[in-house]
Amino acid sequence: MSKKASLAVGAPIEGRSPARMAWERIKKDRTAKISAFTIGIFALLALTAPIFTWILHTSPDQFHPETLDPSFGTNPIGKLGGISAQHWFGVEPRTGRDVFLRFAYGARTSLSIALSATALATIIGVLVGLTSGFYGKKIDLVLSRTMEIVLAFPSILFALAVTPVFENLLESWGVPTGNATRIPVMIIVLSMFGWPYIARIVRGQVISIREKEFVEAARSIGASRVHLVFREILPNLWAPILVTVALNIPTMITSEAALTFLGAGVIDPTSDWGAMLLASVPFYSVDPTYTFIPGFGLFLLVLAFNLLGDSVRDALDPRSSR
Amino acid sequence: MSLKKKALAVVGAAALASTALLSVNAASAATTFTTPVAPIKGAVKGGTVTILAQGDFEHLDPARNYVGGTLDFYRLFTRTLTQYRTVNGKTDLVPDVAADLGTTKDGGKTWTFKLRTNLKYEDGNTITCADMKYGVMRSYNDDILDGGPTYAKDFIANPTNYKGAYTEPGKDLPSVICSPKGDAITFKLAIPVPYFPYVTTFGAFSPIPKAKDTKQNYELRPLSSGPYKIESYSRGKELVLVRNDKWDAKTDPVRWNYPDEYHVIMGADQNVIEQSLISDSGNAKTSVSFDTNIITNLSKVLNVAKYKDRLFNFDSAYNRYYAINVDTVKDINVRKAIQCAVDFKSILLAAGGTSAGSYANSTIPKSIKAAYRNFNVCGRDVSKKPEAQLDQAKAFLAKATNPKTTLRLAYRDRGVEPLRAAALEQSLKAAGFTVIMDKYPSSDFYAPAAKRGGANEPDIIQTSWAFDWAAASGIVYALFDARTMTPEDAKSNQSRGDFADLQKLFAKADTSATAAQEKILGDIEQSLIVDKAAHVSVYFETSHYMAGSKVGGLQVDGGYSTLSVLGAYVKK
Repeated sequence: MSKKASLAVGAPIEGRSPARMAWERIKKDRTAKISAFTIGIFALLALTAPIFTWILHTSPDQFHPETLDPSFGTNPIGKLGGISAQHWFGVEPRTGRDVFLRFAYGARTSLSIALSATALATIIGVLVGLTSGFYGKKIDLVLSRTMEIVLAFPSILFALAVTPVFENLLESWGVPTGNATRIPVMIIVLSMFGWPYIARIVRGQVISIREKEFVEAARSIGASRVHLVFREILPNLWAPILVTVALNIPTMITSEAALTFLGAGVIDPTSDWGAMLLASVPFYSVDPTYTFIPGFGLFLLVLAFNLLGDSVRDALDPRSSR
Repeated sequence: MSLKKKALAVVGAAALASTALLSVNAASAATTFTTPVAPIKGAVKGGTVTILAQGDFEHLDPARNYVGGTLDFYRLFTRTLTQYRTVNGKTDLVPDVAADLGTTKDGGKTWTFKLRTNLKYEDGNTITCADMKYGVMRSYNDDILDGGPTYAKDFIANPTNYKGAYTEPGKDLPSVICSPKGDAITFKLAIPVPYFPYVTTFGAFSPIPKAKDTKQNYELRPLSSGPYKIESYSRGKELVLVRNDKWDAKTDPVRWNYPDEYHVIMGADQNVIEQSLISDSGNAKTSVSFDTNIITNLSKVLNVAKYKDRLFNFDSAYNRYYAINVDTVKDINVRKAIQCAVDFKSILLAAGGTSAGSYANSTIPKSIKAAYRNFNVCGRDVSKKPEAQLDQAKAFLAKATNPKTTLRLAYRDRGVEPLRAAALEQSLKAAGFTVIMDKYPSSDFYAPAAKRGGANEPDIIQTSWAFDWAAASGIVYALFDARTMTPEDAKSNQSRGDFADLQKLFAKADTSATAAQEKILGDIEQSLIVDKAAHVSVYFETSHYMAGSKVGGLQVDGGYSTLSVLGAYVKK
C-alpha cells in the first residue's frame, strides 16, 4: 500500500508545532541547504583558523620577503598572486603575508564583529519595539520618531563621523588605543544603526498581538506588565525576529567591511576582509588575485546569508512569497 | 610622493665647499650665464600643461617652500638671487636676480652679488635691492612663515639680534646692505660659508615688495617675477598659471615659457594618478606629476619600450634610515642587536623592491666620494646580504649588561612608511624584542619624535634625509652633531648622539679645509654607525616619474633631484 493511501485511511494525525512545520519546510529547500552549508564552511574556517597557522607554519602577520619579486616588491613570485602549496591563496604584495591565513583570520574578525553587532542591535531593537508597541501613546510616539530619525541618517557617513568621537571617549576612560577601542566602537556604531529595523517590526507585531484574547485573558486575571510582555507577547514574536536577524547579518557584514574599507575600521595588522579589500585596491592591475579573494569571499558569504534569510522567512510565513 | 626636506641647523660650519656641485666658477659664470637660456630643441609655444598632484603645495610663499617638486615649480613665478639651471641633463648654478654668482674677498664671510637692473614684477613695478633685502628680513619671522629652510637666519650675522620684519617692523638688519645705486647686495655672514651662492637659491633670497606682503597669506597669491603668474588658486583643488607679460625672457638664464598655461589639479590619490598617466588618454596626454612616484604599477612600465620615452628614472637624494636613540637605548650591545635585526630586504620590498631603491650602508651617498666609506653593517656588506642577521642580533642581546627588550618605534603615517615600520617590527620581534608601534600623523612627526625625555620618547625613529647640497657637510653636521641639540629637542639629530670623541672630530672639521673636512665627516659617520651603532641607513630612493605622451621638454633637475617642469611644452 502506498504512503498516500495509508494517510487517507486515517493513520494517527501528528500534532505539529509551527516551528516543526517551518523546520520541515526548510529541510526541503535546496537553496537553504546550500546557503547554510556555505555559511558553515566560512564559520568553520573562522573557528579553525589557528589550526591552519599550525599546518602552514606561519602566522597571518608573518612577512615572507622570499615570496616577492626582489626588484618589484609589489609583485608576488609566481602566477595568480603567488599561489603555491605553501600559500594557498597567494601572498600579499609588498609584505608577502599569507593571504589564506589573512582571509581565515579576516573571516573571524568580520564575522565576530557582524554577529556581535547584530546581537546587540537585536537586543536593543526588541526591547525598544516591545516597549513602544506595548505602552503606546506618548512613549510610542517618542520611540517611533526616534526610530524614524535613526533610519533617516546616512548611516555609513554618520558612522565614519562618530567613530573618532567614541574612540576618544573610550580612550579617555583608559582603554588602550588600537583595535582594543576600535572593535568595540565598530560594534556600537553598527548596532546603533541596526536596531530600528528590528524595533519597527517588533512594535508592529506587538500592537496586533496585545489586543488578542489570550493577552486580554492574562491581563484580566491580573498578570503583571512584565509577565504580559515577556511571557505572553514575546514568545509569539520569535518568527519575525528570526527573519529580521537573518537578513540583518549580511547587512552588518557589508557595513563592517565598508567601514573598514573607508578607514574607520579594524587597524592593520589585524586581518579583516574590508581591510584586505582596501589594501588590495592599488594592486588591482598588477595582482588582481589579491583583490578577488576578499571580494569573492564577501560576496559569497553575504549572498548565502541573504538566501538563507529568505528561506527562513518563506518557511516561517509560507504565504509571503510562494 | 613629495617629501619634505627638513630644516638644517648648521653649527660652526667652516671652510668647506661642496665638491660635487661647486663645479661652476664664479668669475666665468658671470659672463656665461647672463644670456637667456638656450631654447629646447623642438619645443613649441602654446597649449596647457597639466600637473597632477595628490595634494596641495605645502607652501608657495618663497620663504616657506622646502619641498623638492614645489621648489622646482615655484620658479615659474619666483626668481631668486641665484638658481639652478638644467640644460641637456647638465645642472649649473647661475645668477638669477643677481648678475653674477657673488664675490667674496675674505674667504666666504662677506658676499656681494651684483643685481640685474630693470627686472619687473607682474604689476609692472621694478624689482629693487630693497625688495631682495625685505625678502630676507621677513624670513627671520619663521614663527609666522614656518616650514622653510633657515639658512638665511643661520648664516647671516645678527649682531643686533634682529627678530624679523613682522616682530620688529621699524628695525633694520644691518648685515644685509644694498649699494647706494641699488645695483648690488652684500651679505655679512656670522661664519665663512664658501658655498653661500648655493644657499641663495632658496626662496628667502627672492624679491618681495613690502607693500605687497600679506604675511601668512602671501602664499595664496605670491607676486610673480617669473614668466607665469597665478590666475587662480583654490587650495587643495586647483592652481592656474597664465603668462606674465611683464617678464622679459632676455633677462632670464633659467626659465623657458612654452605653454600658455599650467594647470595644477590636486586631490587625486596615488593610484589614480599612476593609472591615468600610464593609460595616457584624454587630458593625461598633456599631464605630468612631480609628487607621484610610480610605485604600484612600476613593474608594468619599467623597461617596457612603450613607456620608455615617458618614464623618467633617476636617483633621488632621499636616504631612508633608522635613528637609534642613544638616550633611551643606552647599552651598545642592544643597539648593535637592533642594527643586526634590521631586515634591509623586507623593508625595501615594502617600499617597492630594488627598482624603488638601492641598499645603502651609509647616509652619505656613494656619489660624495670625498666622504663616502664602504664599511660593513653588522659584519656584512648590506648590498649583498640584505637579510636580517638574527643570530648575531640574539648574540649581541645576550651580551647586553643593561638589556632593554621593549622598543618603541616611531614612524609616520604616510605612503608606504607604516609598511616599512611593520617590516622592521617583524625582524625585531624575531630577534627577541617586543615592539611598541608608535604611529605619528603625517603632518606632525619630526618635531614630536625629536622631543627628548618623557615616557613616550621613541627608541627607534624611522626617518629620512635629503641633502640640500651634495656634500657631507650637508648631512653629517645636521644629523650627528650634538651641538645642534638642546636638552628638550634633538632637532635633526634623532639618534641624540653626543659622543666626546666624535665631538672632538667635529671641532677639528670646523677648522679644516674642504677636502679634509669631508674626510673627517665621513669618519664621523662611519664611527657613529659601526662603533656607536646609533644609526642604520637602509636605502636610497630611486624616483620614477611619468609624463603624458604629448608633454616634451621635461628633464631631471640636478638642483632639486626632481622632474623639472620649467621647460615643459605641449607637442603638436
